[in-house]
Amino acid sequence: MRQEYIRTKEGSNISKIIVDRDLCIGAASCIAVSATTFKLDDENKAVVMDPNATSDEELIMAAQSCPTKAIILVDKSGKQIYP
Amino acid sequence: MPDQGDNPCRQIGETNLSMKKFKYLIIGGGVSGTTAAETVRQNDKNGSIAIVSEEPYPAYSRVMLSKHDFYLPEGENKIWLKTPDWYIKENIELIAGKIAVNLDHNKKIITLNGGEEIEYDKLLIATGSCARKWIIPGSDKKNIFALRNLDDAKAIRDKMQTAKKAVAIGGGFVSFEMCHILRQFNIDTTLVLRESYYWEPVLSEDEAAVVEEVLEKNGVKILKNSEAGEVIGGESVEGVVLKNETKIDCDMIILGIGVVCSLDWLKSPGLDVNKGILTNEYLETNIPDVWASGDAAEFNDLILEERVQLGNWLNAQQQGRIAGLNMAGKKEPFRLVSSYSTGGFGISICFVGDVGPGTDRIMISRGTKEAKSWARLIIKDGEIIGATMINRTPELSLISKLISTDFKISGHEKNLTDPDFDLKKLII
Repeated sequence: MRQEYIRTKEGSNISKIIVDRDLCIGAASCIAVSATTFKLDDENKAVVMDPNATSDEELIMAAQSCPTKAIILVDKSGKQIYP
Repeated sequence: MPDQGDNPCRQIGETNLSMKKFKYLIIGGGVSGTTAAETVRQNDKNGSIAIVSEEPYPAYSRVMLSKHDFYLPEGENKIWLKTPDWYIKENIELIAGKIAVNLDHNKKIITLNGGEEIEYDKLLIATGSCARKWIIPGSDKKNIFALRNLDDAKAIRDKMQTAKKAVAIGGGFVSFEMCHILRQFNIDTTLVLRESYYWEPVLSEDEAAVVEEVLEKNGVKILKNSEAGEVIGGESVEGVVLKNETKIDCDMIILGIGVVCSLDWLKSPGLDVNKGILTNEYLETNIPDVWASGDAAEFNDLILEERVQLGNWLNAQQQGRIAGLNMAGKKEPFRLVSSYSTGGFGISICFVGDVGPGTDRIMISRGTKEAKSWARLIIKDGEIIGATMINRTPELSLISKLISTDFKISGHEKNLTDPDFDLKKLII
């Protein structure tokens, strides 16, 4: 199941954060990189607390840190920019 | 192996490596080395880059090797971090299936196991760690596995198709995850622990009790204070005899007895080495133009204010990024509270920061037996430097924050031991 979070942060090129819950293994790497954006829920899966909390750079770093590529980033034109 | 594009691994035989030169040479094709190469390429579009990798594969997620999904049909397709054509597209040469055997830092030359020499301008050593050797009578029999790389995982997967009984040796993340997988495949599993409880002394006894309960509830037999004395069988393992003479029948053994860095090939040239390769906070070694990252690096941790060596995915990945930036000419310190979390049998286990035991550390536990939820905060010089958590992963980000901000615990001890106290109140 894919959980989508709309990002409306001013000046950001990222419009959507998607967490693929089937891929997420709860390794918590994303939280270590961007604790203001991500947390683990009761099922030990990553969820987005605040899609506008941080910079594009930190979001990309958090997505890249995921060992299962469970975090997908989409830009304003609808193009997937990671992975 | 992902099949998109041309396979860069074919370059091994096709490329004439007799004295090649690369601007950036990376030893190690795991997440740290690959992230470093990717970061270098983002910052230097034209500099030549090569990765020497012991394994004949493009980069994959080592974390996935101890996850149930890998052991399912088609599971191997889920592990790849890079496709073969990624290396070609990024103009990164993957020299796969080769091992570095010598470093001559004066001449800036790495020698590979086939005798090939590669010259470099800038070198990163990201060779990871390997499984500690298990040497007891009979330990050379077939179907004894240490899970460190893809070939190990494939061999375990193949054996699991027919195995009826398994013995796991040692506590730790991988043992826990593999016990979970073995039970999901309905394989009788006995866990042999030398210690008096699971993962002693890294976990507290209370934390270990939660882990042991779910293991036993799900059919894993745990033998504590027990040590294997001999492996019995013919060519293949047929059982283990403990030092107390208990015999356990099994047709496979999975080892979780720790890892070591194999750095013997680096000892002669004057590179400062302890358990890992010593680096400063920029991941620079004592030798100019040589960096180290990931499990192999024993680095100056700016947050913990000590030299540490960490063997987790996030540390390796993020250090690869910093090493890559610095090799490409930046001067970025590595600053991260790293963590690793896993789940199985319905519980979560999470480590953050430095969880290594030491006489200079005191422990504060917060949790309850009833809730089966514990965190153990590790304190050094009045500050939190790490924590282990069982079923308390939601506190990860708060504890990370307390570690990274050098929070002084003095006067807050009572709150920290109260499992219902909201740690957020301590964060300004």
